[in-house]
Amino acid sequence: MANIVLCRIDSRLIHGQVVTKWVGQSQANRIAVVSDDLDADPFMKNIFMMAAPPNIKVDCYGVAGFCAAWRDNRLGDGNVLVLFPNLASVRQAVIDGFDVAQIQVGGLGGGPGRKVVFQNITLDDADEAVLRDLQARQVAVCFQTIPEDKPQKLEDILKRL
Amino acid sequence: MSEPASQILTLTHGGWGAQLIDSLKMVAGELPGVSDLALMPVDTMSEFQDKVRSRVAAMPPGSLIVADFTGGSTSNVAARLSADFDIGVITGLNATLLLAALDLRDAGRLADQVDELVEIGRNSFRNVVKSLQQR
Repeated sequence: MANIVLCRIDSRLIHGQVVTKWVGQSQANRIAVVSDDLDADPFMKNIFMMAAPPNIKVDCYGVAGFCAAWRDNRLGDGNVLVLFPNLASVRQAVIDGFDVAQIQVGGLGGGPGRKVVFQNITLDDADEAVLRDLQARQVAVCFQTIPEDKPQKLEDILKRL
Repeated sequence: MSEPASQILTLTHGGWGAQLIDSLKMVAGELPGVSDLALMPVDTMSEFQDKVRSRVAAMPPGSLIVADFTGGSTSNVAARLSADFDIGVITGLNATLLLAALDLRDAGRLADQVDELVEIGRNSFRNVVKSLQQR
């Protein structure tokens, strides 16, 4: 059965911080990217597969496909780093049966109406609603961009909004 | 009529390519058609991609993107845009590579000389102490 070593929310998916830091830190030997957009874009999918370190196997799923594979224990074996591009998709996955105990918010991009809460992590009102919902569903949420940072608890982050 | 000379766009985390370009002027003089675009921590992929896209759209066909490292958002975005534009893409920006690209653009489209540039970049790394000992 697949062992989820890290579940990270990162709008950049497989990129510098993930490749140089989190893959090694989490001792993952596989990456699962869960994104409906990416799943529908074979060219981008190829690019992200190329971005991963050579010894890391990458699989890409849509949210529904990932949850079905998780529920049926079809994700295979190994230490898996799961990446979601945004909070809405991880919430959907949790509703659909992805019973992850803990998630790490690493980066959600920027933009108007978004408030910086820690390092370069920003939240908007919709994100806050999703986070409170995840909290109610007993998912532990922390905020951390790179391993060298101290992970921030959701309760503390919500106080900054 | 021949195409205008290839341009070179570096894509770097935090914009260190701009400093590299500036410093290379010490050895290469003015560098027309060479510029950097910084990937900043708050940029989303799509914001950064839009910025790079508008920059690349203004470059002559056959131009070159040099991203700072393989697997970063800079190389991911450059890879994506290679589907839409007539450009070459290399990852692993360093001074030797950039100087070589400046030289080679006199010989024609940089996008047609990417393999050669990759080889030059590869050869730019030396174990200096070991090479000296072998002399």
